[in-house]
Amino acid sequence: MSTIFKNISFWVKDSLKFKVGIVILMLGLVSTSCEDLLEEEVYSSFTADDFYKDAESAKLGLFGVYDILASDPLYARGYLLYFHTGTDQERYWRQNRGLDDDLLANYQIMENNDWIGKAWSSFYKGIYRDNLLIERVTALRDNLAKKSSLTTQEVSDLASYNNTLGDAHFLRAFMYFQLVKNWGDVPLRLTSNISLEALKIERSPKEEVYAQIEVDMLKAIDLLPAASNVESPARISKGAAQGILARIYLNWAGSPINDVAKFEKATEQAWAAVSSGNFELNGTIEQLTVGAPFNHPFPDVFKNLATNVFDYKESMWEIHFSYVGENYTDASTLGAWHGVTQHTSSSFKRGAPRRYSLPTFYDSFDDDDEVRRDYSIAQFEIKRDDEFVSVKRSSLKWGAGKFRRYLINPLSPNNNYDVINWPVIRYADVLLMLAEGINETIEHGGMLPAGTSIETAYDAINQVRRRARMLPIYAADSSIDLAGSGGATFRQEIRDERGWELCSENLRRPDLIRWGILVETVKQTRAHMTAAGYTKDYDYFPGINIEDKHVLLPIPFGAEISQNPDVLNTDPSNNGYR
Amino acid sequence: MTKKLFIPFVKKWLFTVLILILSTSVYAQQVTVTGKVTDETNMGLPGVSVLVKGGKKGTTTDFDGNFEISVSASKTLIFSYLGYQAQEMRVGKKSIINIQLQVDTNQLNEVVVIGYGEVKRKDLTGSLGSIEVGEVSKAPVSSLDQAMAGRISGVQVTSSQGRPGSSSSIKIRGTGSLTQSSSPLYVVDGFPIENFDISSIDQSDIASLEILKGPSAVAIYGARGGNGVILITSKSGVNGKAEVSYNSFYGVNRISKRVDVLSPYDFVDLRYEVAPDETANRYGSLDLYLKPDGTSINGISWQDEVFRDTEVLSNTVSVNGGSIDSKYNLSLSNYTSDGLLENSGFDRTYVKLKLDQRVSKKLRAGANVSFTTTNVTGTHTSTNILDPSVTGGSSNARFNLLKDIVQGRPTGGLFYSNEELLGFPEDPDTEEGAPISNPIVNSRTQVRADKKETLLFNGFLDYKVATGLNLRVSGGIQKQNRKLESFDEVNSAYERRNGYTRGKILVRDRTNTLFSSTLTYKKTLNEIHKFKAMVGYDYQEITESMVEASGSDFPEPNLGVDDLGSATEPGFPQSYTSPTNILSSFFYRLNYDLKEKYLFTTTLRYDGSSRFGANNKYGLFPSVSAAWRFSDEDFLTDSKILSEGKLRMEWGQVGNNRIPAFVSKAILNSGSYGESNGVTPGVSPSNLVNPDIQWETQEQINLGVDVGLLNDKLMLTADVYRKESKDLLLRAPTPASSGFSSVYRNIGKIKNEGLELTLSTINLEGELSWNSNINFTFPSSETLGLVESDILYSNSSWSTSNPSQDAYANDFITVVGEPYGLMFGFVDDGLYRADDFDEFGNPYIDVSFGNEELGHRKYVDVNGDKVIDDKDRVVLGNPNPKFFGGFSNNFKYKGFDLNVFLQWSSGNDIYNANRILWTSGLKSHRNFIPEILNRWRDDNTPEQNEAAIFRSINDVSQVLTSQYIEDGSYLRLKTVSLGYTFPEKWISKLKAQRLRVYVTGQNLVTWTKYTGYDPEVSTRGNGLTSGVDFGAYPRSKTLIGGLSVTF
Repeated sequence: MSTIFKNISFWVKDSLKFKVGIVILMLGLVSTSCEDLLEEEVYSSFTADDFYKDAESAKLGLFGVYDILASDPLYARGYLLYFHTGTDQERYWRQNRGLDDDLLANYQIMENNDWIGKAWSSFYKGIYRDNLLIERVTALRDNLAKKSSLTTQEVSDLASYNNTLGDAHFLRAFMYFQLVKNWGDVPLRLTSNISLEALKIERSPKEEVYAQIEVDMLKAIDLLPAASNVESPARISKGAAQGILARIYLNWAGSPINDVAKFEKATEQAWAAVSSGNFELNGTIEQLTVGAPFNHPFPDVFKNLATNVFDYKESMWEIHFSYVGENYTDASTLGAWHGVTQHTSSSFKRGAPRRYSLPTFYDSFDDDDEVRRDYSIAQFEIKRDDEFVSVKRSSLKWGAGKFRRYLINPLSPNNNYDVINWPVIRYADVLLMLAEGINETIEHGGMLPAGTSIETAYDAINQVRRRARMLPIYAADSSIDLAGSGGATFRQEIRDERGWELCSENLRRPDLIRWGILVETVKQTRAHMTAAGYTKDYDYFPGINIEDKHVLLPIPFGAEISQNPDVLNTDPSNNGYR
Repeated sequence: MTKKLFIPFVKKWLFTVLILILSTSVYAQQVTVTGKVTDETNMGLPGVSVLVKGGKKGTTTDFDGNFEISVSASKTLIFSYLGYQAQEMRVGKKSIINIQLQVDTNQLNEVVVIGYGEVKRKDLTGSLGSIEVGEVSKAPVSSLDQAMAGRISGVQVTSSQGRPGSSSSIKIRGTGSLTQSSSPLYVVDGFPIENFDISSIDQSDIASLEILKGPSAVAIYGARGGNGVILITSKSGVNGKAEVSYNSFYGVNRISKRVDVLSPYDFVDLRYEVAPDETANRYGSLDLYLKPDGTSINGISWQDEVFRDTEVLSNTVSVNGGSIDSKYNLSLSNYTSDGLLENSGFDRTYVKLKLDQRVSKKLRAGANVSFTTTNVTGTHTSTNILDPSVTGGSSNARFNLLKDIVQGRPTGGLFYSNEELLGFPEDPDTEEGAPISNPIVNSRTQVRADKKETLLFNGFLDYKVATGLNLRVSGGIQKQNRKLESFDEVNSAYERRNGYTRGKILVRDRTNTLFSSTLTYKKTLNEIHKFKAMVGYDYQEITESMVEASGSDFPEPNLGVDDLGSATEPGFPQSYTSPTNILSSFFYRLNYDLKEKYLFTTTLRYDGSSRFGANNKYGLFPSVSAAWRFSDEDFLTDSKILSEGKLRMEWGQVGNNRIPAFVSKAILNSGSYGESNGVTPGVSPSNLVNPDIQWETQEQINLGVDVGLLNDKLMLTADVYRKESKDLLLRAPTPASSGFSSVYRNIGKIKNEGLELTLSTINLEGELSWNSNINFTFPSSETLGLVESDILYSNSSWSTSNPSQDAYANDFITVVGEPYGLMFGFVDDGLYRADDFDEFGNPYIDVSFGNEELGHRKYVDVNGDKVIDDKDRVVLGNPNPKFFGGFSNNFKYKGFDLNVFLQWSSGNDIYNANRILWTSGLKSHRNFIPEILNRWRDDNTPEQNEAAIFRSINDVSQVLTSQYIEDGSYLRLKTVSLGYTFPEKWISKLKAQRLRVYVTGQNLVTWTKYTGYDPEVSTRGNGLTSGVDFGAYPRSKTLIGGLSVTF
């Protein structure tokens, strides 16, 4: 002990050595504290600068974009549930009235509605992600494409880049389509390089937005593989993109732009999908094994959504949801909040829908269309003891029958979130768009694609009608088939058919808007409801609340206007909301 | 490179210190004069320096105060000791000299700690405040900050939560930053720590606490000094024989106030108005609740059931002693306080050892090692009851526990007995989606715990290189391990909502490494020019990491967080390592003192930080200051009145470097997409890049005067300051069309000004003594610049984060030219009455977000356009006080001592969000506060409605209006402590030196017009949305009794 001490104190007392040591130490510290010491190293995240380098990282970036579509503000909840109600088919009702979802779904819409702000923000967030992805992957692809000879690996990488770019261009177009459809003129951002000095931006005219959407869609269709070569309907295929583009053209051709020349283009795209031979209607409609006495015949195409069976031939593109572990960020409220009423304590978990089919819509079905009516409108609920009991017509609480949480196995542990996939586009829709496109093209004096005629249109709609009645899809059946020479009668028949076939699938409101009849239809519906004995305000709020401005949503105040007043330059009235 | 050099050095150095503290050295001299030096109580004073005047010879007294020195008869001896007046004595022919030293009451001679050094108070050129630690530590609080409010001018302490262990917000000279942390930098025994948890120190172990306010004092901390600096020095060993002290107290916490709610009668009456048929069935006749014979149905008082009296217990032992060469201090303590809610509380165990060893004439070494465990347990009232995070924070209205406590149904009517109602985990009749959970069941079924273990090691070597030249090398490590646990059992609110049990453990680990060296040089020229120069280098590195594990759907019964593996649904484990956080700095300070009258100080610091953007890696922070001790001028030295006078001036620039990570780089977050029955990983950009990001700069000037009158019986300090904060980091909102909601930019500019007054007086001397200290601060603030426009809206989002129910969600506004963060909303204009409608029944004024009907709330149409909308909102209140301060009094009479401390704040407004919630949505099946009794009712007579002042139950709008902005001024009797110290002769048989017993009351009385639980509140953020009272854990008053004994 004492020797140690002596040694130490000797060392310390040797003050020259000590002093020199300290000074060297200080100098050492000083000389090393140069700039690179202060570089911020990031450990738990990737930085955008060096991330995109191969096909795998490009794919990660792509799923980062898909991810936003499956987020809560969009297809997992907000955009899915609250933006498409207030039609002649359904009402929105919840406990605790007056919250933003309720106000939005019942046409009490204000600039500061939180869900509008969230959906707007999420679409633009997705667009930023997509812009970055397109820039980085295009650079990678172009570098590779420049090379004169490619290795096998490089050939496969090139294909992968092109596939990814196809998805990326499609997704950007799809998101801009949602924006232009809901808000009309919108800011157009096509690059991730946003200077902090140029954050303010004006709206671009909707025609310009549609033109950009068209560019992206055509590029995507060019790059995308056929549906049969896509792993699952979670990723877009060429045919599905063609179907979506047909939908885009129909919207462009309709209100508010009314560029009728686009009917021709819509027909062309729908026909491309139909004539590809990759798609067909799923004719299987069978009794369910659970739910007696309400185990009516139910189409496989909707059962598959709940059981995660892929059916790309009809369900062409889906937003996919999963429930892994305790994390519900990849799951959706579909089935729980849009579907059938199920008691929380039942073994099928909670089903607490807020979108209910109207009895007047129920009455609109043809008598021979009861199968489709009864699987689309759930006239039953599941009680605490798992008993399936009927719901009275007068309660106005018939759920959306297409999305049945009780068919999921296994159920998620969460009361509100589960795994039913959302069908963005079904082949039935494409067939009906083809019929509509052909009829309208003829009506507006356009050119039909080679090989099509008005007969093609009748055949398309009849396929849908036969399937709904559990008849062979391709066998003509004069008892239910439509026939004629097109025109206004056929237009109405198509519109009705779309209503019956595509109800609860978020297509009715955009359809009514593009046909220019949303406000009058909602007002008529109120009259029908009153005539049917539903006279209270809360039986059908949209009928009281709707105004002409409601064909568009206001640009959100908090998310956009407050930071970007320039967005009102072109329209100080904000779509009529101020 | 640096690390490689640094770590072996620390190891070697540590070893050296360990060896050195085991050794002792003794110095002795021959004797000719002996004597004893005693203190005012005739106790021997150890460690008194005895010097021969005019020579270098000297000695110090021993443990008992005795000394021996050989000296010639013509010489004079000087006896000096810190805290006592020095005395001189001519030796003459005396061989025994006994001296009694008098306590030096002149505060000017006390030494105060400043950054990288210490200085006598009279030589200060900058403005700082010292806390009377002995006085403050009398408050039986879990953490010293809770007792700091009102103690020092310019320092505003707001403890927003009454929950034991919850932290306070400390603002020094106003909010210096709008969005970033405004909390000061703490320097604990020389170790700078940002985001320091002051509750990890036992306040009885703090020797001194200085608050650096002025630019000259804080500038030495450069980029971290912008919010002011708090220097904490823990107790050191003293020269003298070992002393063992023991202090213990025990007491009771009780809620300081209850909020009135509707009686069962009024509640059922309201239900009758809402739903008569259902109510008749469920509750029966109204008479049942108001029977004159006393057989009424009695209700439940939820507040009484939930907030019970709880205990607080503290025990402290310290051992203290040493010689002139080695000193030590050992402290051990435990503090436990239960929260008002069941299963909640705070517990701290603190151990500290401090050593100081003189190794040789030239070398001193020392170390301070402390280890603390704190444990905060239980449910908050303010957090979302579904939220597993236990870090505090503030939830929105829907899942707030305080709401459930206040608004719980007072009676179950005919359906449920009180016992049943108290047993239900959730009120069975509450509406779906907006449950009233049972707060008692909830506190039993939710596990929430925040456990921290903090180790602080800090050591130094002080080497006298040459005369006047000193090298000090110090360094150390602060290591904090924090474990957050949460579990939601079967009857918890979470399980009921989401349908499964859940458990989660989160472990955070932080290592803060410091290396610091300074070289100091002192030189006096011609006896009038005194120079003191210091240069230094600091290197500090902080690394943080996090690991999280979770699971859900546990079998029943479960083992809670102790067996996450039993979860049937495992959660994804998470982990995180923070990006580099390195600070590398050079600094110097130069003091020049001319004739002890003219004092100058200049400092400069050059800070480099890894957090700064690529274009701004280094920042330079200068300061200059000067002081003139005019009382030492010839024409004033003879003044009978003026005993001390000093004028101070200072200017400096400092920074606030609390820049979050990831601002200067584009980061990709990982995410996933639920593709193909599984999960496909993805990445997405998380931020807009700002390569110019830098510290916030604060430029401050300060003018001060210190005046002592009547032999310093009256001391006045006055300071005026102006602090301009520019390049403020604002999480500037960006238009959503950019793809992001915000980006950090150095863009804001604000100004804080103020006048600070402190008056210390000795009012009575003698057997009954009374001295007091009063301080006032008059702050004001102004916004000088903002983001894009001149207006910045902010949302306190207490109401609900989603979906927003407010007509216009932004309830705060910041306008250039005005103070920042003002409350913003509509002005009340009574109710809609018949004459507000024209002959067709149309209202003259429309409400864009509500219905205009009889009995509905009316608003002032500010812009006169006949429509109430966004344009009719005005500034309703300012959360900042016009003045605040404190008044402390110490009385002594014989063995008794009494301390009375009052604290106040005046002119600040409170946004009583609780009250909005508790008076809105009257149709829902819950209780409300009596304010709604005088409401407009459909079933009233017209005369009754004429007198009604509260809106009808049909009006469901929920916006901020002027009636919810209340005057938050208050005067609080914060601490009263009465003690009795037993005379020495009584206790000498116990071998004790000192024995004191005491009782102390904390938060005893508060005089205020504020209607909520407590006016000292701010639950929704600091800069832009302060002054909101929502869901805060109610404060308790505490009464304790204790004793302290020293052996």
